[in-house]
Amino acid sequence: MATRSPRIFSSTAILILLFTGCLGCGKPSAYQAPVAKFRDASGVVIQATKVYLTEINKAERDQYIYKQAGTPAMIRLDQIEAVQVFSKEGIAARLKALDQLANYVDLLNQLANSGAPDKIKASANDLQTALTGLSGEVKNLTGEDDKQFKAAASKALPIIGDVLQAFAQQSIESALKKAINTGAAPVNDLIAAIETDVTTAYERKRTSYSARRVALVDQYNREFARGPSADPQKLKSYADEISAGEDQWEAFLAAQPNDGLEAMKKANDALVKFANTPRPKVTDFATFADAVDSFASTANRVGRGVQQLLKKP
Amino acid sequence: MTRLDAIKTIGDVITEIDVARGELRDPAIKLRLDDARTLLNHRVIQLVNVPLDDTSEQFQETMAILEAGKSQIAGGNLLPNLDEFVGNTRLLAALPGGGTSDYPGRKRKTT
Repeated sequence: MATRSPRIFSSTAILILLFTGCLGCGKPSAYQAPVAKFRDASGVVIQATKVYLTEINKAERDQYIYKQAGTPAMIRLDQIEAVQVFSKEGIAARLKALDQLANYVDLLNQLANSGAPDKIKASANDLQTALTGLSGEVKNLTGEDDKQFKAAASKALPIIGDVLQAFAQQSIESALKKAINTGAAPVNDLIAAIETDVTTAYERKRTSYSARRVALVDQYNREFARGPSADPQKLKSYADEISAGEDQWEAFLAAQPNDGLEAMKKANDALVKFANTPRPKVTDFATFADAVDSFASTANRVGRGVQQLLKKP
Repeated sequence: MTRLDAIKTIGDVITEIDVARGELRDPAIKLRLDDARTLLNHRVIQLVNVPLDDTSEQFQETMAILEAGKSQIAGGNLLPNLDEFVGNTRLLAALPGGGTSDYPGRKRKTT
């Protein structure tokens, strides 16, 4: 999975290159729009990823509840508690890591769009403080399922902190060098770990939704099986529930968070390529802008799907 | 193939079971499918929670068996192939790092 992970943090270097490179190009508006779009699309994907992580335990609970309803069988609170996958602390740490990731991408956008070094340094300082706090929380995770995330985060967070410190204390060029040389690989591992978790969360949600489909169909069929004494209003109401449930199922299948992360990776690769082009031509810029547009389009699809999921059936 | 692929593969079969269950009227077969689903679901939770060496040759061999079983099931032959698929998922639990007991829930006589 590590090779498939998006290299969001390595885009620090790229955006700084864009920023510093375009100081002399005289057309800052040319790169500001795609970088802002990259930030916005990243925000959507990060938010979608958070929804899946937040909902993983709900997916397990719902699956148990709907299974019992479909059997039908008694629902027990102790069993509801027994089916949780990630610890509350484990989920909280992952959500905070994603928050800091969003803040980081926002900082990159500031670098590309603002000529106010003091503001950027202040943002870098704030983010560094938040990452230090997060490192402490990650250290306390003890679950088996936290091992991969913990290992990746423990390695990555201090290095990202160093990179941020360089932003705050050194020149942008020095920070750039540091980001290129030390930041990318461990951050990739961190994102890969989150990607693994969110894929697991998606799969568990799929199984939960599937169980709910069965429960809704069973509910309708039980009423239908009563023959002439079946209540038409109930049948209509149950049919509406099936219809709404199928809409959500369809939206869910189209809202795979990995799609967004993979698109982010491609956009980031395009950023790397563009930034490494010594004298970019119009076609180079167009390729870069297309990649960001494609990422934004995928992010929108994933975002719309997640919005659909959040609606009540 | 990775641990995530194993989770997806078993999840695919669970979805097949759910679709088939919605079309069935025979309570005995429904019960059989419910049991298989419970066991497979438990197997996925094991995969989520228990570290498993998915780089080993045994894991790759097991995944090849499971993928073949899933293909047979997806081809519209769920009932004749389900028990074998469920049985083969036990191979995952037997792998290094994956060793946990079978689902401890109740046993029911199935048809």
